[in-house]
Amino acid sequence: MGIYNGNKLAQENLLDVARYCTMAAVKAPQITGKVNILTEIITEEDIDPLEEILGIQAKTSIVAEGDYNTLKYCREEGLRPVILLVGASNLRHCELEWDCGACGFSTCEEFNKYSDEVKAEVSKLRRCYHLGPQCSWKQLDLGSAMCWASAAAAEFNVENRMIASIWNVAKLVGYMEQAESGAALCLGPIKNLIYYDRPSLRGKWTAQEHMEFLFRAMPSHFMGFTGAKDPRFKYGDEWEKKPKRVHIAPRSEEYFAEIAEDENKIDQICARVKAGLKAKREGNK
Amino acid sequence: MPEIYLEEWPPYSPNDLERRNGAIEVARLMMNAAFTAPKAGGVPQVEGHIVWGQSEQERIARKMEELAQSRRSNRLWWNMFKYEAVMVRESDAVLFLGNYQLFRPFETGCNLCGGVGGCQWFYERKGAHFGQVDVSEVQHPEWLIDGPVCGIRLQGFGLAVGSALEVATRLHVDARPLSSVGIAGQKLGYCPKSPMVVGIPIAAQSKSPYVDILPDYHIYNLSRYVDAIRRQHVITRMVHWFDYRNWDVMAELEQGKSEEGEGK
Repeated sequence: MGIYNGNKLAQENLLDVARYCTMAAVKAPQITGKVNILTEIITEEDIDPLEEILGIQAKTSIVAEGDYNTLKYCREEGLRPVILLVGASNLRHCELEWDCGACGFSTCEEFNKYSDEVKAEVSKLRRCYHLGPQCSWKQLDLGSAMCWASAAAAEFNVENRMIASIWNVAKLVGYMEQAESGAALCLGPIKNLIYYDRPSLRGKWTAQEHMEFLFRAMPSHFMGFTGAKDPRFKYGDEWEKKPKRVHIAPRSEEYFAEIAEDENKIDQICARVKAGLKAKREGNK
Repeated sequence: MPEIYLEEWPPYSPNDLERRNGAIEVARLMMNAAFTAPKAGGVPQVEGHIVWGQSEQERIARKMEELAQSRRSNRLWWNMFKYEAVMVRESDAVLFLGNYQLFRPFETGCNLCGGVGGCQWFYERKGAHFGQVDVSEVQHPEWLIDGPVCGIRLQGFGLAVGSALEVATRLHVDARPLSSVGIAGQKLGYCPKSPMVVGIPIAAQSKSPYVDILPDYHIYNLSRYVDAIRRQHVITRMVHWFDYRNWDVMAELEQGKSEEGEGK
């Protein structure tokens, strides 16, 4: 009889759980019965370019920063998650003829006409994570499919979370080519609350940085009486004695220049991964 | 200790009402699942109504049948509303789920709604100023749903619906998400804060009311068959009279049998 390292064995079984989650996504009840669910699974080093792009985006996005640090932590611990991408392909055309109006058009025919007209413009977007417009009922069905995949993981007591930023970068680098929308379901690693309390972010910011985040997220919570036009801002204990005032300021040109440079770096990573994916897919044929 | 007898026939009898209580409890648990379902940003957005009872379900079914007439030329639409009205009547309860944040975009500029133009596409069509939508202003009173709605919120809505359905599955209760029921429910005022509602009829019965449906199901269903049997039974009695106190016609059959035996 062999002796197994249970944690290692469980980590290796994440791919099996991803299989069951895929079954659940496809089996999820649909309102329309018309949504074609697609899935792809990313594992091991193939996750690293996603982490790389999130690292660049982290400079300007708190969401990307959190997810980047989490993926980095998992990689460094040798416990990368298995990433299940759940999407759908036939969302931009509506054959239902329900004419319900939820999409913003009075008939499905009008929606389809607009959808066809805008396709060329959508295809030119530099960053496109979701291809719209989409039939509202079909989007709802896609949401249910994502939920069933996640619920299947929960039944196996596997740490999991649907993460939009990871879907976004996966889509950018060429995964789920046929999918028009979707989400990334991270499965594992075999740890607790990896994507919730996020032990990977421990010590990543100071108390002052935390407060500055809150200032930006909920400025009205820290605002003083508005009678003096530019209201005073409760930036610290001295806010009344040494007042600072709320003032809308534009971003600097340097800020936008830096973002443009980062976008070029992301393009380079995308080109590199896309070439690799193409070779892999041709090899699979 | 009191005893509880559960049996599904006849409908709405004390034993059937006791049985239905189980399904209603599941509806409550489905609602829990809808609330705790994953959602973008964790933002509260779901509301629900649990409706049961013969008159309440009949009211929903009749509204569906009324809505069927609004697309008379669309045969599939008409079928869907008419057939699913039967399902509502045959259900133990109906859970309505709505998303009241559909008119308040997630503001990531995802382009799910319009393909291009980010959240501006949505705001322009809702007549918004400073990114604020007047949710009390109905723009298209003639539409069934006063769209457009936010795509990210819609997917969150789907997650809530999926989560509720998953609980029903785990608890062995049949459930089916239906747009027809949702649209009718919204028109009747259920989930009052939500521009879009999904109806989930649920049933804990020997035969799921939601699958294995016959063509023209609004005509060929159990309730209609029972009605036909009652009618035929009465008519049969009315045209085949029998003076049971003075004539034991069945005894003649017995006599015939015994005479046959003697002859052998």
